[in-house]
Amino acid sequence: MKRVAFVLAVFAFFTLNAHHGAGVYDTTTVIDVTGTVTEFQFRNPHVLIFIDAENEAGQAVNWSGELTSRNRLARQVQENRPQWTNDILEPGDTITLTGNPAGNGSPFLRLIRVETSDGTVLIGPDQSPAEEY
Amino acid sequence: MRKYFFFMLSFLLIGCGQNTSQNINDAAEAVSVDPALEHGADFSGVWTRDNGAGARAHNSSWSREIPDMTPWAREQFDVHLPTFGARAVAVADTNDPVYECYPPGTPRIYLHPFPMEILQMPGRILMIYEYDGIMRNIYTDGREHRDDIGVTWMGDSIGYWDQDVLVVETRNMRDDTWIDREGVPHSEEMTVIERFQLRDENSLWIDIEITDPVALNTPWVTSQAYRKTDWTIEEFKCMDNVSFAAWEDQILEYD
Repeated sequence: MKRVAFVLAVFAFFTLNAHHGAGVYDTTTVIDVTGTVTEFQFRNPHVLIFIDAENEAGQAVNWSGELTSRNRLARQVQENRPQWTNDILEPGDTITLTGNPAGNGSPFLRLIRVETSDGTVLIGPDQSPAEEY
Repeated sequence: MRKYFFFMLSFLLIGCGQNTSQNINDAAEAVSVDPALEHGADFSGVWTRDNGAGARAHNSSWSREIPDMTPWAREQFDVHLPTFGARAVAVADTNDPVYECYPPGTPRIYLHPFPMEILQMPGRILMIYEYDGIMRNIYTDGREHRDDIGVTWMGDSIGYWDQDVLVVETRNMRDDTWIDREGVPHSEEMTVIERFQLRDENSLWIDIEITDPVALNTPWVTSQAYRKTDWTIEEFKCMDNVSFAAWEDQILEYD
């Protein structure tokens, strides 16, 4: 199911190594976006994940989200989370991205959580902080 | 003829071996006067910042208070637009030289949240900072500061041992870097004294004193703490920030 859920909540679980202003993102909102991976860039200064997700009109929208740096993700082994590598995500994978959306309504996310279709949480809390209202 | 050839070959090999041994002995003799062999501590390893260790430095500056600046420095400070601290502006509006991929300089490099590796050898300590692959040589072989190459981004560093404390003095730094991430300037007259010591084998403490007769009325005294990790230093180039900006621009330009 492709859905976009919104919740109004201040959420600061995952601190980015912010080299840009946080003002780009609406940090009072957390959303889930489920779709198909089109591109995965395991790079510095921030890892990028691109997915195609359907909007309410049934049109495909390419969303992208940023995580922390490749170096940090490659080192960081969270409890009950897999080791991040350059092939942890492949085009065609169905995943759910959770994060703060861009304040201007564009399909960009500061990621808090990534979950695969089999329920494996790659990063972030066990449950998505985004809730349907 | 063949026997003669092997005889000569053996002679050459033995000769070379003797020469090599002799060279090593010479080198050992040369560095035996190095205080590093008589005193010192082993700082070798990969270190990451230990924010909970009580050091005076915080994320973006060397103290919570603004240092005691001269009017010369204050004038520059007032037009610097940092992305951190009480005067923070958006990245699009900053004139922080690091956003132009200028090296952060010494000691600002310690305020960037990346690990560093220390390699220790007789007469020299090599510091490799993950941020932009920046390195510093700290010579502990008794040499003087250089006056033949002018100023550099990271300065020239010489060190000596005070028992188990490595004292490093750095001079000859370019004045187009900031001392911190909040826009405090310095001149080419800046001197940075670092005192490295181990609190335990996994805890590195660096006391830092920044003096600058042109920019600071009183020395800026601070500290930074690190803990040892089992990481390796990876590549992190500032230039990747530049290419990443294309993605960020798409957010702002989205229609």
